[in-house]
Amino acid sequence: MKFHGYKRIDGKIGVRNHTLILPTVACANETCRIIAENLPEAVSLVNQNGCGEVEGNRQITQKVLSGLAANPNVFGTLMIGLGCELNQAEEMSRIIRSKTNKPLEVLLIQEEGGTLNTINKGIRIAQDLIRQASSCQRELFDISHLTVGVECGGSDSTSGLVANPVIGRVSDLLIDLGGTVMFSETTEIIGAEHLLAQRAASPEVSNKIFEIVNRRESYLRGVGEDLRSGQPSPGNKAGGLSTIEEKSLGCIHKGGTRPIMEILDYASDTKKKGLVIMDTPGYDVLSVTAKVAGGCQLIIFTTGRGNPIGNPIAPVVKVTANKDTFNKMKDNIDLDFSEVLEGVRSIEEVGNEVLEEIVRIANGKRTKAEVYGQRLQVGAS
Amino acid sequence: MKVTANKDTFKKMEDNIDLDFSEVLEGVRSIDEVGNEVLEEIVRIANGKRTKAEVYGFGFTETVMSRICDYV
Repeated sequence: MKFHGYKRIDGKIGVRNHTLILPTVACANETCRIIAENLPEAVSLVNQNGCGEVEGNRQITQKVLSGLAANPNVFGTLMIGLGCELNQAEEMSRIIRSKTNKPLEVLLIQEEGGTLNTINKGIRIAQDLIRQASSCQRELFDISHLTVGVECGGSDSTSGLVANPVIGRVSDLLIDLGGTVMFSETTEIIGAEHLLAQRAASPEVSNKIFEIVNRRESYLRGVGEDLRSGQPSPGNKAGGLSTIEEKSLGCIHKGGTRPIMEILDYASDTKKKGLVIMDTPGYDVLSVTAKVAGGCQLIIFTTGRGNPIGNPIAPVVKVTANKDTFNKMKDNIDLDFSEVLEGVRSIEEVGNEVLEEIVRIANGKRTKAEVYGQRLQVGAS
Repeated sequence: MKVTANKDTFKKMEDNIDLDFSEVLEGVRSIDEVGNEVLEEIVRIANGKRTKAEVYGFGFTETVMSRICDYV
């Protein structure tokens, strides 16, 4: 199976051809937003961090921002800094350069003389990047070049019964064709970690699964949060999920049934093909951001209660098996699997079709969130 | 409302900064004198006079809040 993608000069294959306007710090957000608003083919994002951070958090900010710039869907980046911030643009440039040799331009608001001057110059620089990007042509690549992130949010009882198993089928198919599937949300593994550990490709991976669950659970216990009683969320409970274990047992279905090859640190690049787990919180915007920073070109997002999120860099395909939710939130949700819940169609049959739709989206077909222009939504730990 | 006493910064970033106090740094005017005037300007702004950031419509992406812990 093949898809049409963009070959980057660093060798990676993108499914989109974005010019990214990247703020090093929250003080540069508005300048980036306005540049991107003036150029329909540019994307930007909201960065809440970049200053006033302890060293460990600064490193997380740098890892996520550089990972987003290095994502294969990005042709090139215009990075905007303020000038005096902790997360210096010069250091950010070095970190991005260590991950990719794609086009990178930098402007500092204090050097350029304020927002308007930076916008003016930034629009011209981004315009040039966009024209360079527009001369890239899609070429045919094997589906093994795809890394798809799977996410679930606003889960209800239909998520674990149908939506996640259908996406699990897609994960298995994609992995059997040589591709990579990344799932995350460590807090939504709790209670099901022993089942995942049985599928670990090595004893090291098995140990690491228990380790990331224990670490997150004991860390949260340290601030007085008992996950096993505090979760699931109020919406999950209203949707029929009684305990975090029940939620987790449904959640892990979206990763399919294949061996787990690797456990990735937050926002890290995958080194292995096949099924991989990234250690992230379960907060959806944050978890999607981490996977895109880790190189996912496309995200499949299952929901029961309904969810509207998109991402500026990777298409987010939202799916549900709850017919009422689909009808209620048709503008936000791309695919409806309710016929599987009704027993009219099988998980396998629908899963096969979804894989074809994923290839169409990789080829350029837009998700609803992309068409509506949800271009600013990211979050970092 | 953004203010500076650095004349170079004010000139460079006039689109972003509302008030220039560099005359105080140069010894031409006193802190008390300028402070009194700023209070009057604050009242005008409270009364509805727009800051530069308001006129340009800046602020949409500028909300950040503290956390005591990583996300769940």
